[in-house]
Amino acid sequence: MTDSFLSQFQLATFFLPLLGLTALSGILISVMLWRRVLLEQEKRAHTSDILLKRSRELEATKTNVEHERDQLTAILSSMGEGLLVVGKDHKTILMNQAANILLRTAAKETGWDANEIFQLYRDKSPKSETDKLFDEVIKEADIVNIGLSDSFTCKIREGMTFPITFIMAPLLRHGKVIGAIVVFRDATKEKAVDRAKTEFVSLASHQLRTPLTAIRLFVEMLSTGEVGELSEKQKDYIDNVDRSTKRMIALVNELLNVSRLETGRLRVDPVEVQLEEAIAVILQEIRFLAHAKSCNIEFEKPEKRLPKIPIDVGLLGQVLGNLISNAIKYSAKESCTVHIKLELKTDSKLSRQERSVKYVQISVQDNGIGIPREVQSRIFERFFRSDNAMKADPEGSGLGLYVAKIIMVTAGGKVWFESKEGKGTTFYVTIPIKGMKKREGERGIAK
Amino acid sequence: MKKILIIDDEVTIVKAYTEHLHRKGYDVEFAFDGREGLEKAKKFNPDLILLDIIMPGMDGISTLRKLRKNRKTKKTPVIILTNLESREDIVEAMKEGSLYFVKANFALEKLDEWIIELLDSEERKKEK
Repeated sequence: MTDSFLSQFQLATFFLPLLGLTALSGILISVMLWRRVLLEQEKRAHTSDILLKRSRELEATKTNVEHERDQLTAILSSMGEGLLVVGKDHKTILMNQAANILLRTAAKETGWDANEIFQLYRDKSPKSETDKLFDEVIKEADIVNIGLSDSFTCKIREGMTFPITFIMAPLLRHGKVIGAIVVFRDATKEKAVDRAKTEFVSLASHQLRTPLTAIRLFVEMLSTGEVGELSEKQKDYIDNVDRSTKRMIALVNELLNVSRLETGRLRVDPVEVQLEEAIAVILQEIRFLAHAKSCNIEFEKPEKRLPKIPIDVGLLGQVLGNLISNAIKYSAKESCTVHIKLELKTDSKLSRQERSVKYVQISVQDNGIGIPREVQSRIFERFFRSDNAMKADPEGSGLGLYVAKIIMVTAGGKVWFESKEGKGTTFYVTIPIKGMKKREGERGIAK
Repeated sequence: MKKILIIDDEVTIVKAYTEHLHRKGYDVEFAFDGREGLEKAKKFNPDLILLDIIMPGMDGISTLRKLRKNRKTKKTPVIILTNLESREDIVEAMKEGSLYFVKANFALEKLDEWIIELLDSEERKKEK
């Protein structure tokens, strides 16, 4: 009995803790399970919070995108210019309202073959250049800018035509060309205004220059003593009239140039030249002026001979002439040195792939009065002259740099400067290595 | 005395050239438009012609073409008086054999040199 009791007791002492342990672990497990459930719930709640937040954010983004899209659509449709976007296959992807009106196409209709609805003819040429131009833009990632003077007409599907001006540019995505964009306008009114302006300019130039020529002829006869000797005072006065008349003729010429430049009628006629030689010839003409002002002109050629590039030498001569004569005018007579440097450059701002893009740079450096910092931004403005320039040369017209800038921009180049007042100025002229852009136009430059 | 014909519609300019050339010892005749110029050219038989480009009615280029077609004036040297640097006009004038152009800022002294040069070369041609 005792034995059995003992054995029962022993069994109990053996199993009871075991039971306790089991119970404890049961509790522990359930606690853990509960915790997990709770955590899971918490996590779920958190996730749904995030989801809610995300969906709110998405909603906001969607609203923003829609807003932007609406805004863009509003901008595109209220644009006065027609906008046409084509893919690489020259089929239309997008047209704004103005384009639909001008080209008489139905709104929201896309997939037109561009040459079907938008035929572009240069001058009186019978062949549409639409495909050729799009190819140029898409394959060469080039920008084509067609102004009034380029005399393009657009023929629409219904056979009607109108004079057109446009800019065609490549459509890029992640740096790759995926099509082209054209912004264009009906230039009928501009054409009429341009014609009126042309007539006015030719009239004004004739009407102004003819009496000036007559004055100059009579003055010359007086000052050479052809009609009798003049007293010293009379000679002095007549010489003053002569100088003023010549200045006036030069000013009329400059105004005519400006008018031609502004109406975009300037002709750019590049021919292949060796730039070193062309500049040397241009300098020959200027050396005369330099000599009169006892100024020293230096010309630094590049170490390696440049390839021949297409340049309109007359226009380049005008630009360099204006820059160099400024350099001479605004230098002190005692120590005037103008340094002209020609070099081949690559654009360091471009990516490595693009860095093979080369251009020719001509710099004109002087040690003259310099351009005051506060007026540097205005220096290319028409008729603008800084106070120190006015003091150094009261007779300047304020058109030289303006003309230089328009010529360079029209010819596809650039002009800019670096300057420190009292130390000197360096003007830079750059021309892409492929040369100046040919441009049809009425006239060259008057000299 | 060498004879010079001036064809220009501007009275003051005609006066200036006429008086100047008179003093230089030339026999000078003038006309104020192309048509009158052609008639005077036939009658006066000039050794040299000064011709303006922009004139009402018949302009300088048309006048030059007609002068070149006439037996009497076919080879008469012509100096173009031009106020405009229109390349087209200059090219047209050059096609008609005129290589001398007087512009607005041109000195009379230079014109005198050209006249002597042209008349001399005509003289030499005749001698041959």
